[in-house]
Amino acid sequence: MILIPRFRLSRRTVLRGAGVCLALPLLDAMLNESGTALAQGAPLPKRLGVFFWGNGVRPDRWRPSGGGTDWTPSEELMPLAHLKQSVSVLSGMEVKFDGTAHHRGRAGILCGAYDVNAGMYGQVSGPSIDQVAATAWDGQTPFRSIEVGISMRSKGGVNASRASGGTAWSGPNQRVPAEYSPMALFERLFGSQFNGDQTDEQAKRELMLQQSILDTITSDAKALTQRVGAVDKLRLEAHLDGIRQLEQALASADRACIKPDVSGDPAVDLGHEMLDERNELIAEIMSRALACDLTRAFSYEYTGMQADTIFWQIGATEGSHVMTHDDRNLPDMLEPQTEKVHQSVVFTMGHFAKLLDKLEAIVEGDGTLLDNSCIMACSEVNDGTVHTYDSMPLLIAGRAGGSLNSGVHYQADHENATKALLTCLRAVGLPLDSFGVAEGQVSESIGALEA
Amino acid sequence: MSKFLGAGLPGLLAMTCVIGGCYGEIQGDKAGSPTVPGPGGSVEGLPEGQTVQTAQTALPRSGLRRLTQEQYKSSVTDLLGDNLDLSLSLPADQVAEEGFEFISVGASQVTTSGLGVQQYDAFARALADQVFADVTHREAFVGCTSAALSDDCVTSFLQRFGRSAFRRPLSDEELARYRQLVNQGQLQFDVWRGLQVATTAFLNSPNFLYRVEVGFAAPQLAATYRLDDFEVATRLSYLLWNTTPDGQLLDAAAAGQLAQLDGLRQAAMRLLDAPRAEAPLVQFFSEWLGFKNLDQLPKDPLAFPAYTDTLRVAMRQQFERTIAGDFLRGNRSLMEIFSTRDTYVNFELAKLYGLPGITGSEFVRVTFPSDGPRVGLLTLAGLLAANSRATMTSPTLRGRFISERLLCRPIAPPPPNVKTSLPPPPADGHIETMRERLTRHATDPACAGCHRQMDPFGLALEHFDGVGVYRELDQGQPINTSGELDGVAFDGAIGLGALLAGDPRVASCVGRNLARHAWGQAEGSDENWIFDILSQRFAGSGYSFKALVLDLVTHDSFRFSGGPR
Repeated sequence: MILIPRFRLSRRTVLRGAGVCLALPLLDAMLNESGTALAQGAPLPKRLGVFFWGNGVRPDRWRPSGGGTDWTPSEELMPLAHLKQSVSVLSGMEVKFDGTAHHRGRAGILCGAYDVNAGMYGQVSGPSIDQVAATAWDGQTPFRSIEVGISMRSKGGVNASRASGGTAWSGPNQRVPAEYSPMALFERLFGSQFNGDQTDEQAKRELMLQQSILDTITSDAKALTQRVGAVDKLRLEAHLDGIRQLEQALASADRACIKPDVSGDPAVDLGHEMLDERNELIAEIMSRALACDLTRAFSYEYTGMQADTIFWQIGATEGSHVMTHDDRNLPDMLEPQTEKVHQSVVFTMGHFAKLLDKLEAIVEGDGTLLDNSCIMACSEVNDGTVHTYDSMPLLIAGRAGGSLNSGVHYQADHENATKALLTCLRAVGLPLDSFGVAEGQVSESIGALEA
Repeated sequence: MSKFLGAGLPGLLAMTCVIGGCYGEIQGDKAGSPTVPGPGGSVEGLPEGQTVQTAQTALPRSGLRRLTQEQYKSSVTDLLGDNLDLSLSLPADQVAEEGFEFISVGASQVTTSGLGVQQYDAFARALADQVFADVTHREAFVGCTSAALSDDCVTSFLQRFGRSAFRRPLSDEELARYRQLVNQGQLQFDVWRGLQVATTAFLNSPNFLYRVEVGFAAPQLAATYRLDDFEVATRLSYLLWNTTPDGQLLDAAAAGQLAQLDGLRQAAMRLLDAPRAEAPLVQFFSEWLGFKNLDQLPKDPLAFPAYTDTLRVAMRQQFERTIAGDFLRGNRSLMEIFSTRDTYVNFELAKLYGLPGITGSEFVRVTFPSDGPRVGLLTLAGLLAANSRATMTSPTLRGRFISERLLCRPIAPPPPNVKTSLPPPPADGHIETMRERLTRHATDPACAGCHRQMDPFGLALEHFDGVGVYRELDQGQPINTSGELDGVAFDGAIGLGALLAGDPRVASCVGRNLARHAWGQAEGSDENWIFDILSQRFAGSGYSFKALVLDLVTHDSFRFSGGPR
């Protein structure tokens, strides 16, 4: 079977026709003369991203003073001060679900959907917003979405994915895991497989053979589906979906992108994670992938829910989740752990700022890549020490191509947090009537943030 | 009907004719066996008076189990040979979280994402590239020389390698599909390229990546599925060797030997007695009892300056050597794990335990002093460290471990919206022991119920600090280590250990955990009858762990299923 690519921006044609050098930002080369749309007439793509960190904030040091466009960044938001015009802060947005600590907050803030009765801790019962967008845009880009992670220490510090972990879901309890290795991510997106010049006869044949392999294992998977029970059917369907995603990537193997410079992975040392190095590389790859339109939806798990990341960079010696619950009792160490928790939030926001800086540095049309994005940054809990969900830490970065006001401190009072999710989804062009389920369901977005 | 299902026919025939020993509990053939609830039913084909208990009794369901990273690597090594580069990344293993943390259970739950599929694809291509890199290697692998690469040779390679990779014979349809793939490669390049492409597809197929343990409906037994003989071989091999079944085991499956209890027992004993079984079984203990977590366990260097990366590795090794040496090779009663003073230490551990005269980093066998505080599992530094906080002990974590892991008594997570931090020290400057602090914390009735089930066990271990070093005092105060378990009083680690060694729930809990690991899923509440049987036999064997393994794999729950998951 010869695959007919569903995706083709004809970059090569555009690039050759314009006679431009490949080192130019790709999308610039593909813009129309007024710089407001792609040369083929399609509007500039909008992107939707999620940036997640675990264990919440120190609420009194997170909430900015002032409101509307007249506000002053708090201590924990200071690392984002230079991006103030591009970032909105949402206060008083509440996750309404009852259920297990952390779990209900994560499901609520990422998916607006939580089933308290499923599994040991309740389960996510709908897709996260990045996957909602990925599904809506499926077929338009080589990768339907990209999921990355920075800290590899999960709850309890174990470096294996826990059944209850995760930051992205394509459906109820259908977790989409993150890639933590910059090298593997680079290979996945920009690797030699995708260097093929499809005018080259040899490369064409290689791709056809690869497609034949995927056809074969697709048949295997479908045959197996006939034999298994309901739960395993879903698992095999997810596997088949993964095969289709790979086919999609292969169909657009003929790429001209500016590649990020990645020469190796930071060492994996879970006692001393190289968060700076890993974040720098992953943010660089992510920004290049978005610039090249390899995907439009992403999830960026800085630290996972309840993560036990050790922020040794600020002098912490225990996991971050433990820190929120463990008062020291060593005679000489009576500094409350809450101070370290605060410092870890500042550190995290510094790394979020680095990602945003990279997106802000990529020019698209008369704005930047960040301007064409809606990136929701959030955690699963407000005050991690006592598990509150009344005012979730919530930021929205970017203008979604002009659909969003940015630089606003929106002050709500116990408003359903799902409104923020729906706001982001509508801003990137998804015409949803409502979003979320049960207590998480809303049909209103946040008008004050909509341009 | 494909060859695949056809391969199970010898087993089916054996079932309908009910040759002695082919059923186990189903037939009720063991003296003193089933204390199974409910009446048996009579089934066509069974001799007069025989009952089918399994049909009336819940069995665990079964289904697809994705190979763990380690299983993937050991399998491709067995299939393709040593000296392969296995450094590419694979989809992460998933840890189950149901009061135990087996990745073997997570493997039944984990979903493979787009990223995962791409990782498998890249790995398969890299492996095939290596195997077909040079002429000698590829000729040896395929079993034909370039000169004699006939159609027959290609077909026989596909059948042979397909059977190894899929752990069962290929169906006609599958053979045709892979043959077609070879042709495609031949069309684009040459036949060798075609064989390479087929090899890549075998390694990239869900039939390789997932262990299929679905079985087929056993028509004689209501609501019961019988695992195909090849599926039984696969289950056995990954449980005991953590790798793909070898040729001998697949041959035994093909010959219908595994459908017979005797044949199954024989095959299991061959695997169990091989040195290769040791590491997977030791790993089971390490996961079950949490020693695996020492790999990533941080401690506060100010609180515990002696706790180093080499020490925590040594803590794990101490336990694993004890399991391997005493309880697998030595076949001691597993209940002695609570009372033994025999152990293995190197200089770093010896220093922690206060044992003089041991200087090297090599492990040596020693016996803890008979009048000292170290007796058995509960006093191993690794267990004590793994169930402590980074700066101090945690009687709650230690107690939860004993309740969930040793007694199989799950503890509910803390209620929402409670502050789980211990209260700050009293303002009047009074210095509290851990017991006093915890008591103050557990005054909240919402917390007290669960803490009562955990804290007393942990408080019995308070003579050992957060990394397992013995101490006489806590905060300068004497330590009270008394408590009670269901009305029976105990004092300290030695008293608690003695009590646990004699508690039938502990023996039963061993079987439960082994079964979870072997079945790849948690037991249902109506499957308790299985553990009653296993416990009886475990006691009968003098608590020989190897005998328990053998009893489990020859029990119906290993070969039959309640249906596809």
